[in-house]
Amino acid sequence: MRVLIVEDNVLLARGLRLMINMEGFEVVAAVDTAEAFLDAVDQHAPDVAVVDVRLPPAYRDEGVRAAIEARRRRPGFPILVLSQYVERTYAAELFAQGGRGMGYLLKDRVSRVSDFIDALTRVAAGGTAIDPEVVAELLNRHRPPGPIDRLSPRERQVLGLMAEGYSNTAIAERLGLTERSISKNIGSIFTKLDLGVDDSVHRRVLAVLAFLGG
Amino acid sequence: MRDTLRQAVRGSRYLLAGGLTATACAIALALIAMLFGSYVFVGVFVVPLVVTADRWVADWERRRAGALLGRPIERTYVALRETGDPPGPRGWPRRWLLMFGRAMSDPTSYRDALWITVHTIVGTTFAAVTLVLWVEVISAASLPIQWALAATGVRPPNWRPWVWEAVLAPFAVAALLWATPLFARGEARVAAVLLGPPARQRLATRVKQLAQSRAEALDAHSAELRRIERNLHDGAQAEIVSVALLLGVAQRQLEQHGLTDPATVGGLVRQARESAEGALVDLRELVRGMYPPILADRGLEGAIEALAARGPVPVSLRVRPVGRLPAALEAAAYFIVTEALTNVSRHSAAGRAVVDLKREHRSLRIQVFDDGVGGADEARGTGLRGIRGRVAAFDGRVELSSPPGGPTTLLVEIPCES
Repeated sequence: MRVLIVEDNVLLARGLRLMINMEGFEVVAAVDTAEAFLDAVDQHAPDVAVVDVRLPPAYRDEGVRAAIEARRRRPGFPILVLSQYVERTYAAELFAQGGRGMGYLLKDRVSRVSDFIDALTRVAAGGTAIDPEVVAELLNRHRPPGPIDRLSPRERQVLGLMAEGYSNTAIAERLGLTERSISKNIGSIFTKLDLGVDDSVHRRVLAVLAFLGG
Repeated sequence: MRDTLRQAVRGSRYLLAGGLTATACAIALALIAMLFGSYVFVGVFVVPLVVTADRWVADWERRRAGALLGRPIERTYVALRETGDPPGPRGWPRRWLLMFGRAMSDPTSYRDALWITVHTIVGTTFAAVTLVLWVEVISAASLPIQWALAATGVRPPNWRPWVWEAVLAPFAVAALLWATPLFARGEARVAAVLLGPPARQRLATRVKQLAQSRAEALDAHSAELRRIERNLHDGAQAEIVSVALLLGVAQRQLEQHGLTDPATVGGLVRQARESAEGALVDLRELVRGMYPPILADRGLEGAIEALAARGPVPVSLRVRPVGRLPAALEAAAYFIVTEALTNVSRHSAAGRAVVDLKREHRSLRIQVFDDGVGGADEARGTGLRGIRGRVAAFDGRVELSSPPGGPTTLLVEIPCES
């Protein structure tokens, strides 16, 4: 897999490169501005890009803008966005056009190497990855009593993992259950939440996100 | 002893000069009374002249009193003449009328009048007493000569006055030494109160000053917080993320490949350790920039001693114990001295420097002197501006004297309650 790194913090860029290389993937380039990012995508045609939300010169949301622009030029181009803090608006913007091949992780997540590599490969393959903390915040924020409260604790757990972008198999593995019980849980969840059942992972992520975000 | 004498002489001079102004005031008052007594309408004519003369005298008094008290006394006059007034010889009557109106409507004119009345009495009295005391002291000093003359038969002895003088002499001397500075300050304070701006205005000015310095303090605080945040974020935090990342990769290596490749894992762990050490260095630097540990350990005096010993220029210290100060103040004082000494070693080419630190009245006084080339320019380099910023946040003041050719003296005074 050929990866493009877009990160202005030298230490972190180095760490990412090391981690990606150790996994056997290739880092085609490491750039540090939004402009260089867009040029590098054209120049190297990587399989996936890892992009920091904050880039020079203003260090606000250049990465998000650039990611959206890159997806505009190449729809479906896999991008994994790294953010310092949970920023719900950015997540909403990034997933507004559909969640295929899009990921949004917290920078702290990079030290959990397995999770990070997992997310990277998932996104590169067209899947979705959302940081557990973003999902947790969505699940747990104050809300008037609603359908979410009808879910059992196990169902909430499954819902969270679904929102993070895991497939049924992956969820089953993480929770130590069979795939069938996961399917049953998901069916129950969708019924309780009045959502249409959809097996395609990223569409179901979107549905859940829309539900949680609304 | 010399200091006391100097104070007494200074006080006496002040009181005697006060006597002069008081006499002038007395004459003026008498003249005005006479004029108004005889021809009232002349008052309109005379008032602008009188007020102008009063303002001269009052200004002179303000300068004198301000010099003695060590703080300037503000003048708050309404201008008698303005640019809009009718010009030329033709407009003269109208101008005069306008001046009369302004003089009469200015509240300061009446406060000045009050002061003139008070000062006529007070000034002449104090001056007279001072004169008498000096005469007494001088004539007492001449007693031995008179005795000698009497002994040799040149002049007849005059016992009664001599005994009196000899007895009174010590009291006179004591009075001179003790009372004159006191009375001089008293007279100056009266001038400050009556000739300065009224209490409400002084308060208003003070409130404005405090609001300003509070805003500056907040700015300084905010800038400091941002600096710390940036420092932590880009420095220690980034390095600690790096540590976590490297160890995470090492862990994954071990999980996936076991111990088949110790060199790789070892390399990762080594890099992680180096990052951790880098983070420690950054954190230590940051802490030193906020509140240096040496201040906590040795106090301000000790920390400055350490500073003085470190630089290339020999620094002599005149540091008197200042007791315990608020941490923010100690840190600021330490950084000010650090900055000043850095400037000395970098720009002044000085042979020696002196750091003077003491607690005076109700303020902390820092003075850094060097015998270098001077010409310190605040516009170039942010060191001096940084000092001013820090000091402004504490409502203190900075005075820099650095003529080209040197020497340079930096004086900083920061108020601090005991």
